[in-house]
Amino acid sequence: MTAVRTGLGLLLALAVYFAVAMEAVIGGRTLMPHAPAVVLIVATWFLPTTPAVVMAAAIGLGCDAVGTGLLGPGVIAAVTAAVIGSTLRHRWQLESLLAVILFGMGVGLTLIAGPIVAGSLLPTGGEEIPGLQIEVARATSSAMAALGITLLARLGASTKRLTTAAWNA
Amino acid sequence: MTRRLDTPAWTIAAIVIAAGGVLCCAPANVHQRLRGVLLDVLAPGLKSVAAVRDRKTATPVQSQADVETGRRLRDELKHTQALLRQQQVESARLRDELKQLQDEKPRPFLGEPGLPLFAPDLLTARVLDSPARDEIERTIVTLSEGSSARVALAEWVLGDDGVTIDHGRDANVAPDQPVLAGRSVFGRVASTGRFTSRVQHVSDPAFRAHAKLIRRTGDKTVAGAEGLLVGAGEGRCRLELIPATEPVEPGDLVITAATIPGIDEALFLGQVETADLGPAASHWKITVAPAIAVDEGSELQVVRVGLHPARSGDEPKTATKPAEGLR
Repeated sequence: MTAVRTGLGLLLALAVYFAVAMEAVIGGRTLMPHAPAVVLIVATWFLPTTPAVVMAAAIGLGCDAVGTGLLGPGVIAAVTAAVIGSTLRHRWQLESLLAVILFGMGVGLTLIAGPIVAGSLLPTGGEEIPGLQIEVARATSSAMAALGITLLARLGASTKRLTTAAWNA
Repeated sequence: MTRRLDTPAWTIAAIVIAAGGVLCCAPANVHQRLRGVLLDVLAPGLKSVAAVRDRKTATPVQSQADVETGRRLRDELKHTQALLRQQQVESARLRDELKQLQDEKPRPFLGEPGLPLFAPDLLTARVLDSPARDEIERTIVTLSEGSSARVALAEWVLGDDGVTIDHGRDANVAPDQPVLAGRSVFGRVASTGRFTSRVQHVSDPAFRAHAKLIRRTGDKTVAGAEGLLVGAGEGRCRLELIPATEPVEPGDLVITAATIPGIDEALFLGQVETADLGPAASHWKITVAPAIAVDEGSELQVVRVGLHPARSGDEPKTATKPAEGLR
């Protein structure tokens, strides 16, 4: 069990690492899903709150590092999104696909657009929020990508259950 | 069934959020140092993703021969344009010298020029996080359905006027070192990590450089007024402090006015795109298109300036050749 957990932890760390690298290299200027946001949504949806918060902190710091602004707003946005999202998901037992999309949109928007909106509210920030529509579009595409991963996971679980049942029968 | 509040998770979250807040308020040098460390940690991932991207963008759509011919023609065109600019700048310099000589008496004794104190050393670095051209075009095409979205895209696509390169302090790269692409100025090193550095493009709003205009009058090229090149964001620059009395027109070249130590020649900064003079204005409003766009450079040269090897006594006192690509 410990080996499985260690493997899963390593896999998640790798996912965070390469998601941030992907965002730095090929993201940022396209409508592609925001890879760190997708990892954050999936982690928050499937993991308990504590590991999700730790992953969110790493994702937020990575996003801040590859960006051009201050270090910190991404950490705050990602951890806030993860802790609130994960708590609500567990408390209300959210399981439907609509919940995945709405949850993903919320987490994605908080992570992607949150630091920009917060930056614009600061005394030194500008009055306009540049590219907010793109941020919303990327949050949507990230939520859709996370939905796709969730569907694949469910499909895998169903197939495994059916195969086991057929094998036992 | 409801679940109890996950206290450890909320405690960790509160600590991390507080740490994020502290980080936000930390001084700029702390941010710079920490960002350098984080980018160094991310460097292997960035390089591997960049390699995958490059392989993807090099997928043959046309035949290999077409691609090779296109690449060769593009290189030839760039080379010819660079030569033309070099000749124009040289012509303007010679014209200035001739005028100066005509104004002054010839010198009684002619001395032999000695070796310069500084010699440039060019380090070629690979760009890690510049977007591929096709991705930008695809995004523009996708968003061209809504005009408001298109405006937002323009801000976003070109708003981040900087790139990360794969050399840092380990290769003696230091902040403020000039970054070139051929004979053109790409920008300057903004911050360095151990293995990576952040480069500020000339269009970055924080970029400033002392610049000079080169005008074409008929078949002559003459040196024009000097001003301050300021990054304007969105892939453009402004040339400021050019008096309204000076002639300026679109197409004029913009070159560096102050030479980089070790490189005694002017380097190309860009070309005047628009030049407007408002009623009763004392200075021109000049927009400049940078020589190299932020997404154009896949390999850049960082200029590291050191003592001339022949002057420092490490080598015999023979005139060493300057770094390739500069002359």
